[in-house]
This record gives sequence, C-alpha cells and structure tokens, in this order.
Amino acid sequence: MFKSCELRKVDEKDREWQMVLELLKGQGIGLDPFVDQTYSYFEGDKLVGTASVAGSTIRSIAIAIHKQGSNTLAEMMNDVMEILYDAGHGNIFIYTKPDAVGSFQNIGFYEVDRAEVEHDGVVLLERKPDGIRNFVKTIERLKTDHEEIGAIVMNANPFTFGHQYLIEYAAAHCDFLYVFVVSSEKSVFPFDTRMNLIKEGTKHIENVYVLNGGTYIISGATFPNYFLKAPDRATNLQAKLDITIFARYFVKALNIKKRFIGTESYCGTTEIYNETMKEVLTRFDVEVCEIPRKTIGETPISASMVRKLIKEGEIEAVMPFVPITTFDFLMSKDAKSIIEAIQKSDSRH
Amino acid sequence: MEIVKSSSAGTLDSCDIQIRIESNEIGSNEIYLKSVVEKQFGNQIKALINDVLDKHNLKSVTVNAVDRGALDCTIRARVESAVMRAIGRESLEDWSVIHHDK
Repeated sequence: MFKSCELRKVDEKDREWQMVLELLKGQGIGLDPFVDQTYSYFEGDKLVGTASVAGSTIRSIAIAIHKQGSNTLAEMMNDVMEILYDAGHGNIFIYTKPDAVGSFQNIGFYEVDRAEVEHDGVVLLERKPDGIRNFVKTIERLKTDHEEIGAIVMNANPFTFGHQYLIEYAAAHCDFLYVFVVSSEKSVFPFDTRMNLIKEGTKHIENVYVLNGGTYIISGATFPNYFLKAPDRATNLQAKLDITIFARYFVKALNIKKRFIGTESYCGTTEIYNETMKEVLTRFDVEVCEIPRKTIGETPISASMVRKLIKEGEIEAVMPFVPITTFDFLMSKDAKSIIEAIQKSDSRH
Repeated sequence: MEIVKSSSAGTLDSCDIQIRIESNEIGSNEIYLKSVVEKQFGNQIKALINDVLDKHNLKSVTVNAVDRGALDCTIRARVESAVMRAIGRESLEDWSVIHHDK
C-alpha cells in the first residue's frame, strides 16, 4: 500500500530536532528526559507527529493539530509498535494523560491503572489485554497462608548492611516477608547480581522470599523518574501510580499487611516515594513501617555511599558497610567491569 | 497447535485490521476487539477470528484485534498470517494454495 508518511529517528544533531521540540511544546507535552530514541513522523516535509521510546514504553507522543482526529496517530503508533515488537518486547506500555486514554484504547491498549495529584493525572496503558492479570496469577502461586505478611521493595545497588538490617528487622516483625527486587537495568549493578547478593546476604533468615519485582513495580513503565537524579513535577504522580498498582494488585494477590521502608536522608526521589506510600497504602489498610537507617558510629549506611567509595577507588573501605557476601563479590573478577563503570559514571544509580 | 512465539499481522491503516496473537494460560481462547464498527459487526468479526483459530486447533491464545473497517476476506487473511507466524509455519506453507474456507 502507498504510504505517505515516514517514521524517522531524530536526535539533537538533526535539523528536524527543533521542529519536534516545538510540536511537543505547542501541546504542553514535555520530552521525557529518559528516552532511548525519539522518532519524527513526516508527511513530505511536514512534521505531523512524534513519539519516543524508552525500554518497552512509548512516551512523549504528539500529533500535529491539523492531523488530530485523522488516522495519523494510529499509523504512527503502528510503526513504533512494530519496532518495539521486532526488538523482542512482549508487552508495550504507554504513559499518558487521562484525556488521551481514549485514543490509545482505540488502537488496542488497555488501562493498567491511573493516579491523580491535584489537577494533574497520569495513566499507564499496556498492549497485552491481560498483562497485569496474568502477572497477578503468577505471583498468586507464591501466596502463603501466614497471618502477618510483609513486603519490601529494594534496588540494592549493591546490597549493604543497611539492606540486611532492614530485612532482618522486617522479618522479625511479620510472619513472612516478600522482598521484591527492582528489575530495571538502569542501575550500575545488573539485576542478576543485585538479586544474588540479596539472596546470599539473607540466607540465614528463614521466613524471607526474594523475588523479581517485574514490570509492574518501580520499573521503567510504572516509575521512570525513580532513576532520575533530581525529582521533578512528574515524580509525585509516578510515585502515586506505582504505589497504587502495588496496592491494587500485589497487596491483594499476596495478602500483604505491612510494607517496610528505610528512612530516607539521601535521595529526594525516594523521599517523595516514601511519603506518597504512607498516604496511599493507609487507604488500602496496609501499614507502612519506617525503620531508621542502620548507622556505623555516626554514619548512616547507604548504597550510594558505598558506590561513592568505589568511585573514589577506596574499594577496601566499603568493608564495614557491606556483608561479606557483597564484599567477596566486589573483590572478585566478576565485579571488575561494574567497578570500572562506577568510576566512570556520575549517575545517581 | 502450540504457539511458539507471539506474532502480529496487519496494520492500523484504514480498511485493515491489526492482529496480535499471544499464548495464554487459561486454557481457552480470548478475543479482545476494538473496531470502528464494533456495534454493527463486532460479533461477526469475533466469529471470523474464532473460525480461523479453530481451523488451526488453537485452544489457549489471546488475540488483540484492532479493526479499522476491514472486509471479511482481509480479516481472515490477517488472522491466518498471524497464526502461521505464531506457530512457526510462515515459511513452510504454500501460500498460493491456502484455502481460507474451512
């Protein structure tokens, strides 16, 4: 079939970049700071649309005013989805404002959940009609019949005495504890390593089960800003969405009664996340237990501090702050490339 | 028949239908349809899709169909292609002699 429009990759070096920014700005849409690739959609030499992708999500989508209500959005999204499906993503997510939901439902997207803060709102949609329901079925198989069930979500980048203390404390204050590990590969320690170090560092605790947090818990889909250095306007909304999904699906599937968090003194984003959690989870009858950070002398332990020491080349100086299992890993040759990456980077995670 | 991978066929262009097929774990077929003519032809389109699934003996798949006003022959052909891709027979079939009727 004759195709009049063409999807092209653009970046800031291209002549079209300014046009893309103006199209987004004209419709009050920000260019998400976290995209892997931005696309322009041209009809001849006229820009009629733009969309960006980050992992399996499509963001910052805009269609020129004179093309709205035509089939342009569908045709552009068709091409973008094809790219994501071809790249091997099984599910595709869209992060959008409530008033745009209808347009995406029309092209086969299904709502996972939504959140509102004041007059601002955000909705997460997915392409698999049964995506979240299937996920819930998978975790329901892990349900136990304990009375007081607790949950912790952690990134553990890398696993420290602070994380270990939090898990020990939580496990002692409930009958059974699920530890969800953030699955996004946005952190310098890869998912498999983070997961293994948590498992090894909690082997001595019996009532703990460590599992993959998957796509629906602090992921690029539910909470993209978690991986940003500084919180912005969208952070509140995203935090609320992420926690609402946790409350509506995870809490119900596993009968979770308590969620444990560590007091945050380092990171503004996590602080907002924790505050939002107290507000949302209380409404779902889940108790939020905030536990003061473990300190060594006067120094509170944190993964960012451990990374800072690594960055400064003081790898042996992390010993007082991490379990022996983490320390052994840092000393092993498997850690070499990670240590190099930390020493080069300046990112929050 | 077993699905070996998720697959798509068709586009979101006008007069076409886009089909996405995935395996599911519920042991029966589920069809999700969005159509500009859902009120008029929704049931007919679903029946058509079911027909093709039955023909290939598929019993546990989820179909996400987005119809933009496709004719029956287009719908049949798109579902057929998506199924062939999903069961890994796309390049094995002699497409010139396929019978779309049962």
